[in-house]
Amino acid sequence: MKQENKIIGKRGEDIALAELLKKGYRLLTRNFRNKFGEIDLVMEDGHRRIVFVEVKTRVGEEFGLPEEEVTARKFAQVRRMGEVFLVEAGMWGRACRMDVVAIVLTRGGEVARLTHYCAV
Amino acid sequence: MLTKICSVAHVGLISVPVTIEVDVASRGFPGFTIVGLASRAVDEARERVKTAIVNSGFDFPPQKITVNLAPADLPKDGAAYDLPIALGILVASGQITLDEKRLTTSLFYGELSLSGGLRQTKGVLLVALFAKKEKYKEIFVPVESANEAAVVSEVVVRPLRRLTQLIDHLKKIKIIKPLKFLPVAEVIETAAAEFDLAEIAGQEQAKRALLIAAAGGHNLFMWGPPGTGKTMLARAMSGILPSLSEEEALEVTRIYSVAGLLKSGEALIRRRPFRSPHHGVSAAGIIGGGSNPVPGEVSLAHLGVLFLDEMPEFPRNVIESLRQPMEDGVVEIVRATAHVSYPASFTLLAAVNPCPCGYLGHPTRPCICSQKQVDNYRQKISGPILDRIDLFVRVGVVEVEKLIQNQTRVGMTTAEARKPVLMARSRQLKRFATAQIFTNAQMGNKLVKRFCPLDEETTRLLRSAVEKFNLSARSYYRLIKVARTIADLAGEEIICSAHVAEALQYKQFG
Repeated sequence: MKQENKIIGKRGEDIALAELLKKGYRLLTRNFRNKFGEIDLVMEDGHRRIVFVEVKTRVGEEFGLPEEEVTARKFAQVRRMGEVFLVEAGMWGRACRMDVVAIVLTRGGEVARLTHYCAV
Repeated sequence: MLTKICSVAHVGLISVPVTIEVDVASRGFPGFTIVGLASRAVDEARERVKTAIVNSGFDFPPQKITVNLAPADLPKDGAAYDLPIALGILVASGQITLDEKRLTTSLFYGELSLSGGLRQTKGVLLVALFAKKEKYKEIFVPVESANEAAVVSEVVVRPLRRLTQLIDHLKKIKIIKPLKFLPVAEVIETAAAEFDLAEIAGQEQAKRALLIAAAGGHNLFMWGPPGTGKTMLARAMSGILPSLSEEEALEVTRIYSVAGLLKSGEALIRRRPFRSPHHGVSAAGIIGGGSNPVPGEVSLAHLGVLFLDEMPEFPRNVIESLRQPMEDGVVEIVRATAHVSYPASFTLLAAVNPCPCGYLGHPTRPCICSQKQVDNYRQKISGPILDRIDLFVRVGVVEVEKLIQNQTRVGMTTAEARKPVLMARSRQLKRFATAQIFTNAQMGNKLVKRFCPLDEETTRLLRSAVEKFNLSARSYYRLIKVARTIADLAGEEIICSAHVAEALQYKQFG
């Protein structure tokens, strides 16, 4: 089960990455992690703004929306991790924001819905 | 889409309009925020509203929902905003369409349960009174509290059992029948006392004092050894008090409505309040308090009786805190976030033993207290409090003769005692028709001068009494007010020296 969730999560991240690249974003790093946690995607948009992306994927909507999984705690974690990233990458002081990409998959693994929330 | 729903907030007994603005945004990360100085209970409305909407068979929109309770600087407490918030979300998310006018002429007020049902909510009477004053056409309130609103005329009260009922009504699928107007006079009833006065042996003077206290709303202080009937006399008092007038009933019910003390389905406080808090009560419990101040015992006893049994056993600060309400008939409660005043015009009834062991001055039993103990006991009740008492009466030991006599012959019954009280009260109501008070005890000094003319002989008697007993200015006015009531009991308009002389009898303690 755990393994399966990981695969779903990985698949969601791939889908989100493809979608954002299509929108003209540039990938800086993937799965940036340390002991505080992880940022799924770190990207840069057309205005050279750093974008930290949290991807949430769910199969089916019977157990609630993927959006509901993004809690205040997750926000705080991404924020803290984002600061670490900016310092480590020597980008401290650059404009940045946090986005959420919510993906619902069908049982067959097809994308039923993809919503990109900017600057949440 | 943005929707506005009207509701009401209460600051003490004052109602303030609250506009609930609900925005369901088509963009933005889904979430549900409530702003506008919401307390914990209001903030938790998010979970109740969300679940209630889903359990009522509607969709909770997975969108960015922002609720603003305006005015933003007024602290809001309680669960009464559940209903307007839920309705706002349903309208703003397009699940029902209504014309704007419909929403601005109605008030919505009530707590939701998770099932989508409405729960009893406090303060509904105030909502109805507010609706009448501000000319709102309809109010939608929980069915269990709706009867409170039924006594207010000119307002259409629609009782709700479930959220779905409201939606069906607004969609005109099934109209909710409005409550029938219930005139106050039909609800009021005469209080039945626990004891009949006739059950209490002897104590003629105490009964007379009780009669005067009931007739004029004067404070009464009874002292005497244990077992002589002080508590019984006090409990018999509610039987000789007149029923509440319409105006009074509404005034008392407003307080109970805000305090949330009305039972489910109850329309009105029908009987004059009789409160007897235990002496373990705190100052906040007796005066009222809390960060969003709720009425205390003094306000719950408004227009009725506050009975303090074993008064010296009460904490000193509790007794002293009675000073302001006893003088002004209102309490002002000030907290960091709120300044509230509640009416607290009550008749104080105190029962006191003469000393800790209770037998000081007893004809046969010796008192075992030291002088110091007696002094300490008496000092519990300070001069300023005693100064505010109109009638002191000694409830002595009942002679064996009277105890035995009482088995066969009955003294003054409650029904007999009530007649002169009612007569005296109706004289007072007529007298104070324009003065906005109900009893002689509530008269201010100006009114005393206007309604209590004294002839020369009476004035002379008063002057010598003031000198002899060292009466304060306050005691002086209180004495005249008691004399006014005694004259009213006798059915006389002029206060004569006999009335003042009787009033003087009740001025001694010790």
